[in-house]
Amino acid sequence: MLRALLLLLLFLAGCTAQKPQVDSSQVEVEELPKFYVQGVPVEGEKLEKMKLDILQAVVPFPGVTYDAINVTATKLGSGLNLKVVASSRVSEGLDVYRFYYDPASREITLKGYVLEAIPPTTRSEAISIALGSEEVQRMLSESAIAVEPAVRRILPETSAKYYAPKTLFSITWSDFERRMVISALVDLESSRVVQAWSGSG
Amino acid sequence: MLREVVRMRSGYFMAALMVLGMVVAANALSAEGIAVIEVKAPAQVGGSVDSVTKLVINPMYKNIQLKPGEEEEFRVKVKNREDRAVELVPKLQAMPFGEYMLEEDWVTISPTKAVVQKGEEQEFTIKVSVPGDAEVGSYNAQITFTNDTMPSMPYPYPRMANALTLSVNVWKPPTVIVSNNFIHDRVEAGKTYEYVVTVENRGNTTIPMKPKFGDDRGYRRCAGMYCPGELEEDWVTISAPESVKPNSRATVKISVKLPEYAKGQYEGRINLNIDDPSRPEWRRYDQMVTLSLQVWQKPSSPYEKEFTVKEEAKMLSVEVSVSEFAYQKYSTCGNPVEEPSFKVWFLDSESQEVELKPAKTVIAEAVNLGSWAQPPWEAECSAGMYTVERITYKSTYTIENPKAGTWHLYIMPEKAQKFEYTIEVE
Repeated sequence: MLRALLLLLLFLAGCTAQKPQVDSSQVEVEELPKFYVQGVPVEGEKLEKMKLDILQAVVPFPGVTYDAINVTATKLGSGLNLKVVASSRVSEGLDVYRFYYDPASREITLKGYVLEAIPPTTRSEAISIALGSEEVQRMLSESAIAVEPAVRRILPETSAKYYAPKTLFSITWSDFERRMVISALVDLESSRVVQAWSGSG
Repeated sequence: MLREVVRMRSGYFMAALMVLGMVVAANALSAEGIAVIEVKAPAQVGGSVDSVTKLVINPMYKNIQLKPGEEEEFRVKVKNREDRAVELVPKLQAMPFGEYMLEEDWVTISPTKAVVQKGEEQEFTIKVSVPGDAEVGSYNAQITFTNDTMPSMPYPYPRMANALTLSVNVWKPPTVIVSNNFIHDRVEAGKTYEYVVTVENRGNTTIPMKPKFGDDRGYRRCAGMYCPGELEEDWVTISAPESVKPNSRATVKISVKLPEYAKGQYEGRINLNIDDPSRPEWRRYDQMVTLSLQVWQKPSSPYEKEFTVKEEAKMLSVEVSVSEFAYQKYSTCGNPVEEPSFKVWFLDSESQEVELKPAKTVIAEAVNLGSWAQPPWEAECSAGMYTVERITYKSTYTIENPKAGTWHLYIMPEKAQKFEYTIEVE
């Protein structure tokens, strides 16, 4: 909420990429990420609103700050498909979001995401919890998969369908051609695997 | 499947024939006055099915996961299917199998007894309280509602007929967090590589650690012609402190010295042997570090191909390509993975060396929408997102108006385990 209010103030002040002149002893202001837009040209007020909406919609994992946000706009029906790639110095992984921009309402809607910008310690902890599950271990040993897993943040809207409306982590191992995939849905708060899944293509 | 069934049936048939044959033979022997040894059927353990009180227990299995000091309550409904009133006395009993018996004082059942009328249902509340000093592990027991037993051939103990199986997993959050359980890298034969595994101790006590190479318990060994080679113990040196102090991190350094003859894919495992109090010994899978190395051997000489250029050829073009899985582009521990490249040159029909730079380079990717073989929670949120699975690098070398005659093509690969090429003469 504070972040949204702050962003709105910044927008109204017309200085979305600069630190505002505020008393730093009272409010700690985050430095905004560098924002790049390419593809279908979006300009003026429409662009500013879109930037603001994206900045409010993309929330990094605690401990991660986005340094740069790259938006690629492509035409999709009457609107725009926005691929938003957010990067951070803290993590090798990127957070990738896909939004649909409706020109009539000038609103963006989140359509998909793959979020891998996770601090290394959190990533290791999530893998460690997944590996501690007997079920996951059984699946791994049966498949003989022994590769680095992908760790992805799952947003509460999605998690609600599989466990509870909270941030979870998906730890996924796949063999070289993704013919065999093993995944664990991990709740970091309770340090447990809430669901395990295996499948083959 | 059908073949299996037929095989099984024929097996039974053969067994039946053998038994029949033995009976016939025994009778024949008996008729001849030779003593027949009477073989008694094994005694039936447990009561008969007809004498069992008919109850419906819901649920019949309950698994609870609790930390030491936690408690959980659940309800079980027992319906009387008999034509008479039945007295139910729930009791905690040991499982026929199982390492840890659930302690009796961890479980409270209320009411302690109940008389249930014909067709009626009784609800029991079962509370499981795990003491604060309980050890992590899997504790099992059954809660029986009657003393009825069922025949349990071929096992030598009775099976309780009206029972709920209760399984309690006592767990603790991991005290030890290991970073880099899976080390994957593309390396060169004859060189030495260093990898670092970080072990974080979040507990309040010092935790001993004794890494050992080659301990792969719990893992199925790969079988078949496409399996990686086993990393030799002599190639690997591990240096680590003997313990990890509370609330601190320790680093395990793994050095891999690859011999000149190493080639292809190798895999090996290191057991960190950390005495983590939050995990029972048989569940310390996260202490295994897998080393997966793709060893590239720099060839001593280039690949050579002789070919003919016809008279009045206008163009000679050679395309060299290498394809790799996207995952091969990344390595753990921050070692940069270089893109494959080639040095390409020719000897023309007059044995003159012709060195060329690529006239055209192409990068091609195989992209997957990820709609299959994905866990449901990822499939849903990543709908419409693309995943690069395979990357192909192509370079084309061209020579206009090549001289007619016998040419030689030379390709020296760099960081490429395999490649393809085409020679086109127009």
